[in-house]
Amino acid sequence: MSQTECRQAADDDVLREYVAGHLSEAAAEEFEQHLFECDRCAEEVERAIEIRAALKKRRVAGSGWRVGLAIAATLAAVAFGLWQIELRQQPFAPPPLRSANTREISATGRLAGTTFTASWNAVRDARSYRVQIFNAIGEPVTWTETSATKFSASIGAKNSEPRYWKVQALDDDHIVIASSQLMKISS
Amino acid sequence: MARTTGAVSDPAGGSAADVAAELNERFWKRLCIFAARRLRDRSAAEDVAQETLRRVIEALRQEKIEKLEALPAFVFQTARNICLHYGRSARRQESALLRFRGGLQTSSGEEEDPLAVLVDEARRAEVWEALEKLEDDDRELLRMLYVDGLENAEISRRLGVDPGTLRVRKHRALKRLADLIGNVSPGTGTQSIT
Repeated sequence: MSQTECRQAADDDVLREYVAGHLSEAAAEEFEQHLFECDRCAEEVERAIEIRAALKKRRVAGSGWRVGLAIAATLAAVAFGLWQIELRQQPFAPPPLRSANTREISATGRLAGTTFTASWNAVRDARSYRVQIFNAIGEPVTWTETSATKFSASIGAKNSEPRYWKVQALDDDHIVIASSQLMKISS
Repeated sequence: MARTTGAVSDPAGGSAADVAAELNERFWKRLCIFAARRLRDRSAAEDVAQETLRRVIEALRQEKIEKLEALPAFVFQTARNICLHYGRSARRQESALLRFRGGLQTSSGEEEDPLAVLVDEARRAEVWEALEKLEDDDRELLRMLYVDGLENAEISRRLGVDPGTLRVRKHRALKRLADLIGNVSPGTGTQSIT
């Protein structure tokens, strides 16, 4: 879509309602479809998210000790409630569900010249592993999948920009079931 | 046996890397936004974004996308399918439980805003630092626009200005903010949604 033709950006009510989460699911999805085609709206949405997050955070932080006290009291009550629920449910609780948040892969990696070599412990139920390389600002620049628990490849000449990596374990459905920490690539 | 989908050891060399880089640059943030609204979790959103790009690159290699004009719609549909898959998975259930607990534990209102998970603390501080330097009128206008979520017509009415004037004021406030953000922490870059 031509940027000058975009009515959404010119009259941005819909755009801001999307960012605020006020659109119906159907309307939000329709706007998202547009978002993938319109660079201008994508930039506007990104900016709106940042401004909203910054302003909202400050409003919460500056709302005073009374609110803080009220929140603390609520938290205490909720924590107690959850603890009670957990105590009651524990004997009958199902086995832990899979989650990348609860399983961590122990991994090591090393750069020798331009060759990056990594290895990690096998993860139960893992069908394959995805090795990801990120640039200095955390954007993925490349990735590789393997069924082995080691990886070696040339990742180009050293430069001043730091790079990072992590490995994820994937199950049959290609869902991440475990992940390593994000680590800096170094020699 | 390694199966390579990126540029690390791709025998095709530069062109595959170029495609991956271009797709990343064009769609990464949009995909994160798309997925974060549904999953309310930054890591999960990034996983979806990554998996979407992987499948899109594969589709391009297999020449499944006939016209490049169809690429945005293909990316959208692929991301949608992956998110639906997440919705069916047991992992989603656990995430929902964790979110439920997390939301109750902090209850700051921030968790009600699924897209906010994409903006890290450093960036929020950076944007806030710039917002603080704006004139009060500009900052209040941005608050009405982006936090209070008022429609343009309502803001025009409150400020007693016509829609055209409001558009100009908004444009100027955003321009000043962008200039200030450009001046914050020089040299560190202003990485936005990461």
